[in-house]
Amino acid sequence: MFALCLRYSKNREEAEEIEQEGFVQVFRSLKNFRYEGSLEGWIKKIMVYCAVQHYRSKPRLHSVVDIEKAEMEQASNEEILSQLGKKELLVMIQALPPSCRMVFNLYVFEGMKHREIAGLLGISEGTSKSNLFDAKVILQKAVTRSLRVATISYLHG
Amino acid sequence: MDSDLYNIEVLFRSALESNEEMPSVKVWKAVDRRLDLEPVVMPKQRYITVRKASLLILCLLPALGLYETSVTHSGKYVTKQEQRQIVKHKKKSFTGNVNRHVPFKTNRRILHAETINHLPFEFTVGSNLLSLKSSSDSKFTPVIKATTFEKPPKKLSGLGRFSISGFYSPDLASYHLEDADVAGQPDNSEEIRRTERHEFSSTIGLLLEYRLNNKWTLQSGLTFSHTNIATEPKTIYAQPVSSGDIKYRLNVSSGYGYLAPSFQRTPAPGDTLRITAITHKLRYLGVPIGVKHSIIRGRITIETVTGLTVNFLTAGKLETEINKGPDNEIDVLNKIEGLKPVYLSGQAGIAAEYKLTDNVSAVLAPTARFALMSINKTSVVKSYPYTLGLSSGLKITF
Repeated sequence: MFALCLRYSKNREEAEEIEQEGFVQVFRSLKNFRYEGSLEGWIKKIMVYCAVQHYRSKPRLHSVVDIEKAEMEQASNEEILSQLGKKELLVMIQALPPSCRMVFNLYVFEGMKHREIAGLLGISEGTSKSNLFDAKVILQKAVTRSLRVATISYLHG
Repeated sequence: MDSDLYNIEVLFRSALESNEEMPSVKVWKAVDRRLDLEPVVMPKQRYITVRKASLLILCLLPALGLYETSVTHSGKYVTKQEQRQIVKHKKKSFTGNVNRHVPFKTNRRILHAETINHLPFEFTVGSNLLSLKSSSDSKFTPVIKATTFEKPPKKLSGLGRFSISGFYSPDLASYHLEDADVAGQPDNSEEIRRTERHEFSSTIGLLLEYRLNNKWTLQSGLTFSHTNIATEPKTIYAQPVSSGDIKYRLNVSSGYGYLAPSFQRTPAPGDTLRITAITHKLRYLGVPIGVKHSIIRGRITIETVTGLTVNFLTAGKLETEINKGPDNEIDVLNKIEGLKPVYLSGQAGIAAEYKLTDNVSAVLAPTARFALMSINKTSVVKSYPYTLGLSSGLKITF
């Protein structure tokens, strides 16, 4: 569950806050668990709820995402994973603007549709799609940049 | 570019979906600290309370079981079995601050409500109104799934699938006669039909039923039928039999018999004998196999029954009163010649059941039974009996 909280937060401290809140809710709501599906899945849903609640409780400004300077490089996922660790990828997600990070996590990891995400976050479906697109572009840039750094480091020994 | 962006999705999902991390110890301490603020019930006290509650529930369970199986289907009460059949769901989402009661109306009675993402909301379920209140002050958008009551399929509220019923049926009996190809006999179907009349006939039985589903039931069991037929006084003649003897032969619709009155043991061919009273009695043990189709309306069930019965002859008796001058001689033949030991009949009827209690019903069933083959052979006529009876009895379901 902590890995899930890390994905939804910008740093470790925030992730711990979310997990703390999440487990308090789990223990309080344990009597409501009806054994329909796994306990892990049920706890995961509560964690996502707490992450979203945490996101909505923070005042934020709409972040402007500059995506025009994105430079794409062709590389397979296997090549990328061989050069970049999970921690690095996690840091890339945490570096996303909060709105993009939330939509990216809900869409990619929780498998939610834009209509569901829009209802959950209190935004429009169009905004959800736009945030997802921005998130993907930013991550693409970050991966490309990291690959270049990794290649340069490799070449220089 | 689109494929690159899709690859990013797949890359991050495959890398991080099963990623594991451990938080610091202070997270668990903080969780403990916060949970410690919840009201604590002393374990001993809690277990005493739990034990008292368990004892009360144990005492109430039989009553609860009786209640659940005796409910009517007027829509007011719903058993757990019916709840499982309820399939209609309604989803609704609310935006904004839900730290207040929000009406959620449907056209149907709400049985259960929950948030799809299992959020801690309080629900108040009314007949068709659902109020929900968030347990926290934050703005959130719950997505509600409410399970509403659908009219459940009609279901027999009997306790089990098996039932046994006993019945008695006074019958109106008759038959269809056809001339058989037997030479040298003075009687024919027209003569016999004119001189015979059915007397009181009845059927009693024990039926075993197995309910397949709400509409169809299989039925079997045992029946015992009595048929009595009287004949007008008639004159019979002595004739040679296959053994070479000369005997008085009496022909009836069911078969024939040879009389040997004590005062004339060796008649000559053509001798006559006056019979003043003739009654022949048939007793059959039947094994019915039938199918019932039921229509349930509250306590009343209307059923149509069709089936076959295999009838085994248990007794065929011929009682005669022979005129021998100033008094008469009673001569009884315990076997009617020419009767088949087994014959097949069909049955069709309509039954009405009225549920007296959970597992006892009163049954009234007008039923027609009719032979599908003649009950005799080598007789002067072929007889196809049929009856119309009114069965009444009790059925016990278990």
